[in-house]
Amino acid sequence: MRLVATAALVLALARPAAAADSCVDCHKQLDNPVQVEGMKADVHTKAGLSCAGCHGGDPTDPDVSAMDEAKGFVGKPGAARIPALCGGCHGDESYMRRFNPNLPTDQLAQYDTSVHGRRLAGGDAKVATCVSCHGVHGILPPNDARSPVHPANVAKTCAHCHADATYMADYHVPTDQFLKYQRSVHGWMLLVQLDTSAPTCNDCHGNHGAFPPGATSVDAVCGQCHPVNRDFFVASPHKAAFDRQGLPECVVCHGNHGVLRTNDDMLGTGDVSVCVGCHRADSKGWAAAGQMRGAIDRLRGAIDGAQQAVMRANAAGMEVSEAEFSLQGAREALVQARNQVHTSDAAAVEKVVGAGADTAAAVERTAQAALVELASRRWLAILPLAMIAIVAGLLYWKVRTLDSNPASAAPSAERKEDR
Amino acid sequence: MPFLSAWLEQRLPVRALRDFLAHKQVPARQHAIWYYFGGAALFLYLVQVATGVLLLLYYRPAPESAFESVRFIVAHVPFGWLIRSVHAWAANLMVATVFGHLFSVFFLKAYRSPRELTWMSGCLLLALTMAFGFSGYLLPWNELAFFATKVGTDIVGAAPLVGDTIRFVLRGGEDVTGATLTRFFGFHVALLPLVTTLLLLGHLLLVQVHGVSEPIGGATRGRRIPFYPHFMLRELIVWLGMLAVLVGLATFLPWELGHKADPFAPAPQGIRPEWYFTFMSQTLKYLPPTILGFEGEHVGILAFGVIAVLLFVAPLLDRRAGRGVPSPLVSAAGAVLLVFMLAMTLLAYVKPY
Repeated sequence: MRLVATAALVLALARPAAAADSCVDCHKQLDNPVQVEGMKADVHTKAGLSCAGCHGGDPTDPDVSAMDEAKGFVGKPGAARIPALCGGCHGDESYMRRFNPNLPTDQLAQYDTSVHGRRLAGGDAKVATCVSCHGVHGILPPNDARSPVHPANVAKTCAHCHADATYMADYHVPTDQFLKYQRSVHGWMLLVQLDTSAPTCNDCHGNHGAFPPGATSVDAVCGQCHPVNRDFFVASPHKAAFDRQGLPECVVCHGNHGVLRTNDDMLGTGDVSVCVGCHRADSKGWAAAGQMRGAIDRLRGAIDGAQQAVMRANAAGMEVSEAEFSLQGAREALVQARNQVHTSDAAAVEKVVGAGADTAAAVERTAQAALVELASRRWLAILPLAMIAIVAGLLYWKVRTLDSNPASAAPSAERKEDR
Repeated sequence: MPFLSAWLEQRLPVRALRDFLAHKQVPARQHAIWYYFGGAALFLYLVQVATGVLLLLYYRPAPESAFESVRFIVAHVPFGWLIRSVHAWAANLMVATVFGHLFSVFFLKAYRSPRELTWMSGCLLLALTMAFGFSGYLLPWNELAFFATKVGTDIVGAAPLVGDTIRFVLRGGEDVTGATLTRFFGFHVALLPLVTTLLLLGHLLLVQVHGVSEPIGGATRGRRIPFYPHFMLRELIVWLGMLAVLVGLATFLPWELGHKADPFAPAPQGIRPEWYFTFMSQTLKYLPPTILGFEGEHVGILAFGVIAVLLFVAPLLDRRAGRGVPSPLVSAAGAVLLVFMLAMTLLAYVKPY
């Protein structure tokens, strides 16, 4: 009985030994074991894949014969083979479903349509392939902040090639995109404010299917995040005019990689206005630009005036918080008016401005009324204060009269004994 | 009128009261400003009761409605701004006046026998006045009050052994929440007024029983004046002066309401408790983390507790004053305490960190 129990315990404690992998066993003893070390964190290793998944061969063979081509060994795949190699699994829906049913499987198809894919198909081995962006031997999921394709790192990953003037010399494209992007409002949001909802390279160009957006599709690209402005622009006379001239829509006024935070000086007929670049001084467009800018300046002035009045009332201790809250409506109208500018319809801008200016004026009236009331309270307070002063003066006169009459004071002999 | 007087006389001891007033006398002094602090504090307490009752008509003690109800009082109720502002200013003036009353009585040694109980009840009334201020400050549920209450209850929580329990009971939980607001409201409008009124009646009764004290050394040289009308008219002038100050402050410097408290917002910079607690919070800031192996804050709070107890039993400790002999050492100790409190309060505003 004791023998049976001992045997059962031994069997229970015995675990199957980890499957031997001759790739790992040999390569970790080589001078550069980085591949083996890097694979420990690799998303593929965690999914149960091994070196042979990409490189082929027989990992159960402990000898050098494991790397026999007869056993499917492919060695280090060249750039031209990499997309197909990765796509072999990542394009197989039934296979990928085992790991992540939500993972797209069209990366290879998209890549083939990209500038990178097309040039690779044409024999250009310098272009980016899967490993250029995702890395190799240590690939991390995109939502890992250490991954080169994490939103915060994408721009730097793209810049690795696109900001290298020597590397890009053969392609005759600019190499200052990353520099411009860093200075742009999008770059500031993402790289400084660490707001990962801010756009980076792939949000406009696509990732696997990376391609420069055509002039007529810029509004669709920007409209992903700025749909209201896009809708206003598409319905405006500018859309047809830009399309006719092949102008890249939003980019004409806002720029692309170096898009800056907008300001009201971009509108109107001033020196730094973007309108005057196309519209002549005697044109309808010039007049509309000036009218829209005037309307927006008027609303901004009305809001500033109301805000000043509210601040004065607050500083004086008057309760005007409800009016202050209402001012938010005027500020929203200002945002809407700035959006309406994309319609190029001065009347539409005036309509929104009018509503906002009415709200701001009402707030200013309330704040001014509070200040007037404060002044009237102070004037009215003089009356009771004067009455108090008169009564106190009369009482003081009475006290002096009493004090001057010795008969009214009690003699010390009659006093109650105090200590 | 004689008929009305006779009618009242049959029902109330009007003649006895009149005789009492006619014969009541108080010491006559040329510079007797110190004698008016008690009466001024009483006047401000009556103002607080009157304005507090009026505020109660509109105030709603809940986190979602307290601030809004006070805003409604200030913005929409006729003369609501005046009532609320007078209530806030009178609260601060009352604390200052009661402190002034305490120190004037202390330095004039008016606490000496047989007025020990008058002094002790007065000390308790000072504590109750500060409790009134502390509980009332939170009621508008604005940003400053919310975080100042956090700081204030943290000071209480630093008391050794029982601090955590008292803080928990005061807050109605681990943190300042709606539960704190409702219980502070209960303290402010029910418990504290009841206890204060009873104690105040006892305090005033003792003042009538023992009369007004004369300073040691007989500065008045035995000269006295009738309470009515001589002293009463002077008192009335002081009360009218207080009323004028209140109306002036409420009108020319209306008490701000600020912004509604947001428990999830970070505390504004430079937050501090009400001015009459700052001498304590500022002192605690200067203490090292440990003193003789004990937590610095615990030692500080314990020291304040000991000082409060010593002040409370001062008539029993000051034997010289009890014999009618000047006691300069006790006066010097009081002066050191007063200067320390004033310096710490000043530092809290001039150099808070």
